[in-house]
Amino acid sequence: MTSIKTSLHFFFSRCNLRKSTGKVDLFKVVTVPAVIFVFLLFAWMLGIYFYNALPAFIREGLSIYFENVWQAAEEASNEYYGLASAIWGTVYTSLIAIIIALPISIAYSIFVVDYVPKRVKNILIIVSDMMAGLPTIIYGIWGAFVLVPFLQKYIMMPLYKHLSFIPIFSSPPITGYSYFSAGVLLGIMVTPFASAIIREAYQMIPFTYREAISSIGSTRYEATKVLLGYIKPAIFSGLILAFGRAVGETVAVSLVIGNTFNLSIGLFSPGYTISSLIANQFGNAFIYEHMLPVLYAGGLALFIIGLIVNVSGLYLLKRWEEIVRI
Amino acid sequence: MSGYRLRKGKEILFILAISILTFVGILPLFHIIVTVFMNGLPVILERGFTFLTGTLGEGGIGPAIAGTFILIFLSSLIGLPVALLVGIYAYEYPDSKIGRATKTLLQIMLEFPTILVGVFAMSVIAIPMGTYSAFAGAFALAIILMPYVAVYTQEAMRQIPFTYREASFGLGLSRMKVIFKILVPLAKRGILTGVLIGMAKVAGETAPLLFTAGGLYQSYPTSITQPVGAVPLLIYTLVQSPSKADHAMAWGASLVLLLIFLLIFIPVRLSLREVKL
Amino acid sequence: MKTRYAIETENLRIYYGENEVIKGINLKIPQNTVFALMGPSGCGKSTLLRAFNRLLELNKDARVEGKVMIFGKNIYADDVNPIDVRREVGMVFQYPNPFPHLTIYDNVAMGLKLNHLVRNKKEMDERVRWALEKSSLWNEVKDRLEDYPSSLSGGQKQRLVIARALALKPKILLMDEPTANIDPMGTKNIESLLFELKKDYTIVLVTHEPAQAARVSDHVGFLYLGKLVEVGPTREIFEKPKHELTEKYVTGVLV
Repeated sequence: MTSIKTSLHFFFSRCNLRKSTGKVDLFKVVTVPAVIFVFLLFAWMLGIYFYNALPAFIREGLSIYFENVWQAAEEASNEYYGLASAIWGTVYTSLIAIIIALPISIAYSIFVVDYVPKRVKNILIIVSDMMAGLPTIIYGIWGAFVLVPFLQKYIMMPLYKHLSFIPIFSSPPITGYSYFSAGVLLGIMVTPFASAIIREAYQMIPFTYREAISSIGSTRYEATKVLLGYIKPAIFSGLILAFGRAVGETVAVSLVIGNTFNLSIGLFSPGYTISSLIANQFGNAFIYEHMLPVLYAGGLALFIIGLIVNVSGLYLLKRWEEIVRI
Repeated sequence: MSGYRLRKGKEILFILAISILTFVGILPLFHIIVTVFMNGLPVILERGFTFLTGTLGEGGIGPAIAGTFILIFLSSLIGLPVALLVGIYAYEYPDSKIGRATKTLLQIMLEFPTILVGVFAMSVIAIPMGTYSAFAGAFALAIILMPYVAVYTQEAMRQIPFTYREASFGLGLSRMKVIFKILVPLAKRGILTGVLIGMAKVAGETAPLLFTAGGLYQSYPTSITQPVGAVPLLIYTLVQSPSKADHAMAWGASLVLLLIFLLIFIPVRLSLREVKL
Repeated sequence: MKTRYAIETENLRIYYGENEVIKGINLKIPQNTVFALMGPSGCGKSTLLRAFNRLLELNKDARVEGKVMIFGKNIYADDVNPIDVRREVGMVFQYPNPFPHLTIYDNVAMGLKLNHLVRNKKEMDERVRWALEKSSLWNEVKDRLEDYPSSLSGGQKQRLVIARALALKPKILLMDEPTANIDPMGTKNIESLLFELKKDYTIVLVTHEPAQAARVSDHVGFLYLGKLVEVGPTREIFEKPKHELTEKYVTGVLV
């Protein structure tokens, strides 16, 4: 309690509620509490995850993040859990997603800024925004009933049949619910986010720079390559933020990933992600004595991964913008 | 000359590649819209109006639609005041330490995994209350709504030309009055856009409702301290069921959700072009 | 103590960050006159003007040193609230800026309403009419008070802005190049308005046109690169400038 008091005191002394004349600035009195509330809310969220995950750490230690096991048992002392499968799945599927997002978002940005008349450009941008805002459950139902069967029949099966000596293609795509399907669906879902950032950066390259490149007689293709190099940090940043989005996605993924405790590099194996694990197992968790804290521990991991990814993405973007806008 | 030919050839290949990739990128949206229509329309047409007003037992998603509206309304009630105040603060003090920290926090919250917000709301509202409820769901949705509205509000205020700030302060008004009586009304349009976009986003959310709202589809909701359904939540449940009939229902509900989304999103997005002062 | 001067500055210095923009100015502006501040663009006229109603503080980089006395009272003293200053000193801007989302009536009334200067609707109506009459706009808008300013011409908008400022009954009116963005007809209207207004108000007019200063002002000050090069009655300055720079400026050699 005292630490909250001291931090509040610190906060208020920094925040000059009074104007130079000594009269109270009503504006601050009204808006500052809202700002404080939001900060406290965020801290509270983090706190809840720590607090509720603690029993799991005490019981199983940090190895909970590195073991792939899920032993729910009637006898409480026999319960044993590990989150490795979920963590792996989260990282793997999100990686697939940004591998897909990379070429598409770059191509889209170039196409929209350089090659297309204004009318079409506006339409393409609206389409991208729509894809960014579309309810994820709609992606989910389309993914589960349309995308998965399609991928399984036309991509996964052929690849498995002919190239299964390559490790990533070595698992049999029995149902189609897999890391691969989840990765593709996530790729489709997060591309608009990366596109928005890259497109904006590409558009804002100063005209003089573009002129300079054209003046040395390059083709548009060559010019584009150079311009892309100029915005490389923005591209990185866009992909990092897309990764952050992919990591947090829940319903769409849980409907296409198969929800199985695997720890495999095979693209066509089913698996879990942290978010789909939480979505899937939370209902169960109230029956077993020790499962709940483990799920909170998973949530905590997701919280921290998300935080690190998003903050670094934002930081990179801001740093680059500052350097470039001299 | 052949060197140039080669370069030109590369150029054509390049343009081809990026147009194909762009097409591949936007194709899913159209495919999704078409699929949802093709699978959902027959279901709705077959049952007619009952689909929209009937309970699950009657073959309809009425309670889910009602639940969605209740949740949008309640979460706005909870989230909008805070969002507007925070957005206005971020506009007025963009350079102070707190101002910049606020902007960063808002950006972080925009990208935050929504399932984590849902579980949080469950811990602090649903569990102490001992029940799933509309209130718990709305609380989770409010947390998700807040950063959208705050950021749009701040942006809308930033668009106001400096001369109006000078004119209002020049009349001897306090900061409170200048902002709330003159500048905020001037930014009305942009702020409203943000509110609508936030609401559209929140209407389509599923994960935050998984462990807070509970779901209620056999009868219409009557109390906010009791479980409530929502269209996205219903779809999620139905898709996981083994029954084909449930899947058909899910497609129908998806069409309804898609239409609600398009109906809010498209006008708002188009009007963004017209926001000028 | 009654002073002769509406505005008096004492070693006034203004900084933008590290940059000294106004370099030690001592100015005395008499009451009920039109005082013109002229000089080439970018030499700090608008900045100086904004020191007189403490509107400079809207810019975080600006810093003021020295004294500014409005009717004998230093407005930069520690116990002075800038809001009170701004009610005594009104301002008109370079781009006519009536609030676009308020009706013509409300534009004039808003300052009255929010500052609680009138007690009821009747008083408000009277004050609005008075202000619009004072700014020579009443006859043109009396039948369309509920219209929006977008339906007005540039000159009319500026007179609306003048009415908005006058409604608060300030003693001093600051005008920052008020006719810079208005057609010649509108400019003529506003310049004749000044002759009327100065009977009741002290007007400080920033202008980029020495000819305008010659036409409308009683006193004029020539500001060059942040320093007050010469100041005095208009006729004297224009007919017999003491300083070489002043002569160059009024004859159009220096721009």
